[in-house]
Amino acid sequence: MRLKFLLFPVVLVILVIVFIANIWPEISLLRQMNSQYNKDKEILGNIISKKGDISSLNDNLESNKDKKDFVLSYVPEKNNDEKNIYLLNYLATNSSLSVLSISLDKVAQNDPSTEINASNPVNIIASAIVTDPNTGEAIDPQVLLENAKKIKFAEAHVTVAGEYDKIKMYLDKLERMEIYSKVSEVKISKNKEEKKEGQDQAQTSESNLLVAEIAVDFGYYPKMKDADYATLTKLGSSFDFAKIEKVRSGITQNVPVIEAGASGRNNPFVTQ
Amino acid sequence: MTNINLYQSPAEEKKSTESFFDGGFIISVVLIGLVLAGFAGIKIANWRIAERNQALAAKIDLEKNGISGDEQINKVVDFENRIDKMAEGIQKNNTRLVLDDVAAEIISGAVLAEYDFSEDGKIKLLIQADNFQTVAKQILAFKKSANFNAVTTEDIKRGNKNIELSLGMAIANKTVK
Repeated sequence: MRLKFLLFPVVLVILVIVFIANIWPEISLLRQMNSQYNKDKEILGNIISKKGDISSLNDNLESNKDKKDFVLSYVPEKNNDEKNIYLLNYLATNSSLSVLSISLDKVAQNDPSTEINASNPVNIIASAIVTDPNTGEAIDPQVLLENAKKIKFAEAHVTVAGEYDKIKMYLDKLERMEIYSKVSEVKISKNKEEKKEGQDQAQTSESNLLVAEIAVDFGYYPKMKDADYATLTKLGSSFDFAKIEKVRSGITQNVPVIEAGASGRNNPFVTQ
Repeated sequence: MTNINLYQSPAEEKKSTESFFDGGFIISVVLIGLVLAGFAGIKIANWRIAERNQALAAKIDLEKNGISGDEQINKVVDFENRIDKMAEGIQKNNTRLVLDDVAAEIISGAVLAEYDFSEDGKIKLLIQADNFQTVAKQILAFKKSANFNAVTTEDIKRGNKNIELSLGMAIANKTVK
């Protein structure tokens, strides 16, 4: 008789335990998988939609060739030493300054990420441990990945001599060049040579001749070779050409075209 | 004393033993059946959903793998990135204006001998002054300027003809120039 009364509660308790231990996890798993499915479906839809946009974006790019050329010239794929030297000298001459020296730093020595395919994050992660050539310490792949996405800089140092106003004009021109760059350091001092030579203190103190040592960072961005899902999803349905116009509006100094001119000499050791 | 009749007829006894399989038992069996059926149903559903998810994931992988090798995608993404980098580069120090701001604070009796500006917005100056009073006034002029902050006197020494003052400072708002 007692069993009769206990049967239903016991069965109920057992069922509750079975539900909690076995069924509820399955329900949770089902909900989780459904949620994952919806997310994946969204991702797939996004990829298909973005891939669909690519064709129209490419057409848009081809029909705006001037903008494309400007962007590729403003943010070049590689560092152009010759262009940087030419520009620094050209603008100095234009500002009536004498160039005393120009030196260039090798960026790759300071930036380990440039030694790897900068536009391929997969390669960076899959690659063996990369060490910092300066410190010898291993670098976190995530840090490398972040660095690879950043713009690279080639630093150039120029020393010019001239008057104060001309140096200001030169700085202004350097800031407004038609190339991605920034003036990172400026040192201006009175001409030391003149200080030593000049016996007449009054004459030297009144002189306007100054020497300026200026560091300019020229930016470049390696060509994208392996776009991934993350970069694809950031794409809009059209290019933001307004950004280009904004940059263009701040440029007053166009970059002259460099030409090597005629080459070939009978005796390269003799000036002809 | 009251008599209690404890007699039970055989029919009633039989009825009570038969009622073991009554409503409670049936409900229990039904519940067990329902739970088992539900469990099996969910298991089957999970199995099917897992298969569906796997198929979808494989499709996504296929689509993702197709991204990196696509020349057209690379070209478009590269251009978009380049535009973004260009826009990031707009904000920078205007070194000429900073130089103008420094010149605006130089007082009478003082001459700027050396100017050193670095990318982080820090400036070091070497100023030659007639006398210590001018030195004091010059320090005050920079400290009162809205264009500079963290003005520190690094060194003061007497030269042959004048007093040399080394000052350190930072641009107050280095990018908005």
